[in-house]
Amino acid sequence: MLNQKVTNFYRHLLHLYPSAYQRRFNTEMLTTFNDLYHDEVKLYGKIKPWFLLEMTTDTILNIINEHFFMIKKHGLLNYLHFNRYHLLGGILLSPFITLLSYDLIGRLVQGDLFHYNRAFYYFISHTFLYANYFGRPYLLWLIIVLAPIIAIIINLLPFIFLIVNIKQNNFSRILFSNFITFIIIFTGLLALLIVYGHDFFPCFIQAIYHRGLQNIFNIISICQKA
Amino acid sequence: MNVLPLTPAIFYILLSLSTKNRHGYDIMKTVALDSANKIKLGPGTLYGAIKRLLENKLIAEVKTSHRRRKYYRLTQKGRDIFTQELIRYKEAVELAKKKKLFIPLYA
Repeated sequence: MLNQKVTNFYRHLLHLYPSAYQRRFNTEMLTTFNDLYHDEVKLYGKIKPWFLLEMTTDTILNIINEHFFMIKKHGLLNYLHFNRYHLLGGILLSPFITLLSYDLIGRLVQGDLFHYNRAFYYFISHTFLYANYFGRPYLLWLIIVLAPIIAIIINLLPFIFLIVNIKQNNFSRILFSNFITFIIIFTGLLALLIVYGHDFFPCFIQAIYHRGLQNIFNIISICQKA
Repeated sequence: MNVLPLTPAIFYILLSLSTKNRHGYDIMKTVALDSANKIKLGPGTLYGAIKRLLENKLIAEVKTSHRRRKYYRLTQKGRDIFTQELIRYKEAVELAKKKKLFIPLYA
C-alpha cells in the first residue's frame, strides 16, 4: 500500500519534466525508482524518511536543470509559448502595473507599506486619470477594472480550451507552457481585488502577518474594521 | 561540443559501460561500487547524465525486447573520449611521481 503511494507520488513528480524528456525517460526512471525502493526495504525493513527526501531533491534539481536547458536551447519566449494573447494581455495590464509600481515605490519612500501613499493618492485624484466623464472617472475605471477583465478573459479562454482538449495528464505542459497566462490572470485578479477591496490588499497582508494564518477566515471582518 | 574534462559522475558512468552494456539501475549500482560509494547517483542525476551522453553520442541505446528497461552501450566516440581522459589522469599521476609528490600513494 505504501509502495503504491510512494510510486504514485514519484510518478506525479516526473510529470514536471519537459514533455520530450518525459516521453523518453519516464518509464525507465520509474522502474529505477522502484528498484531503489525495494533495495531500501530489503536493507532496512522499511523506508527511511531521507530516502524519499533524497530522491525528491535529486529529481527536482534535475527537473529545474532540464527546464533551464530547454530555455537555453529554444529561447525563453519560445519556451514559454509567448503568443499574441500574452502580448495583448500585457499591453492591457501595463497601465495598471505602472500605477501599482508607483504606489509601491511611494509606500516604500514614505516608510509605511500598510497605509495609503499620499503622493499616489494626489496623482490619482488630481490628474487626468480622475477626470470625470458623465460624472464618473471612466478612464481610471478603464485602466484598473475593464482592461484587467479583458486581459483575463482573452488569456483564460485559450487556456480552458487547452485543458478541455488535452488528451493525457501532462501537468508539466499545462504549467510551463502557460506560465505567462497564469501571471497575466493573477495580475488581472490582483487589480480587481485592489479596486473592489479598496485598501483591502495591504490590510490583508498586514492581518496575516500579525494574526497568523489560523485567522484567515476572519480577515474580511478585521479589514473592514481597520 | 567539448565534453572534456569529464565530470566524476560521467567518468564513472562511462567506466561502468566500458566493461559491458547496462541499464540505468545497473549503472547506478556499478558507479557506487567502483567509486566506493563516493558517488551516489539518484535517478534524476543519472538520467540527466544519460541524456547528455546520448546527445553527445558517447553512448547509444541497445535495442532489446525489454520494455521497461533500456540498455546502453559505449560508442566508439565514447570509448575514444574515455581513453583520452584516462591518458590525462595517467599523465597527471606521472607528473606527480616525477615531482615526488604524495609518494605514499604509489610507493
